[in-house]
Amino acid sequence: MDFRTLNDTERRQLVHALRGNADQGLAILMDRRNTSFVGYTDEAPDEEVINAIKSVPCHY
Amino acid sequence: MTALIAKTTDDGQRTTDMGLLDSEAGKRRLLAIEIPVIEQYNTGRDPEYRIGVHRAGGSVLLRYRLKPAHNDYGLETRLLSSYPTVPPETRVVSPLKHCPHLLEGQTLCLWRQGSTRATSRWDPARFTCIFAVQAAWRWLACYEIWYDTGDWPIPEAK
Repeated sequence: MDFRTLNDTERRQLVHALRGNADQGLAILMDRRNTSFVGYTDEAPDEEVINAIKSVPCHY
Repeated sequence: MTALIAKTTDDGQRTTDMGLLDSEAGKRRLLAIEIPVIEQYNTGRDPEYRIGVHRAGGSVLLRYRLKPAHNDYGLETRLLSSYPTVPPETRVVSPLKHCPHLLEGQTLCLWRQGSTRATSRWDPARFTCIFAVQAAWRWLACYEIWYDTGDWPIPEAK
């Protein structure tokens, strides 16, 4: 697979979302159509909960 | 349910083990909880990113694709006969570089049932297979960062 890396802005946003998700419970938002990262939020609306990664328990 | 689950095996092997679909409790769990959330997940999703449900021996196999950033990954999540007591197993089918939190067969290290931290454990009373998909998405997002920087972006749980 030809790996396409993130640019600096994309990487910063994704790291911020991942750390905010782990430390402060921010919900990471997935695009409804293709699952790509679209941002993060404090509170995901009920209808978007299936596309909001929040409080997912994980060992890593 | 038979219409929703493809009657295929991934390796053609037969098994005599009791599977998730062989018990009433397993069927109830699938019908009442797992299949509805998969249908909800698939709603509005591009076809190539929907979850496909397959029967594989005694297990139920979910096949799907995730694209947390620019790269697209194929994945399989297996619901074993002991699911949901035992957490689902998720592996990435697309080739990966060896990295932290990756086990043999490109299986993702997602849960640690012996952990003292609740956040490291799979809770069968609260979680569905979609939690495993979301956990895999987050793992792949971490992988994309690690690939670029060499650092896993979130601290390891104990």
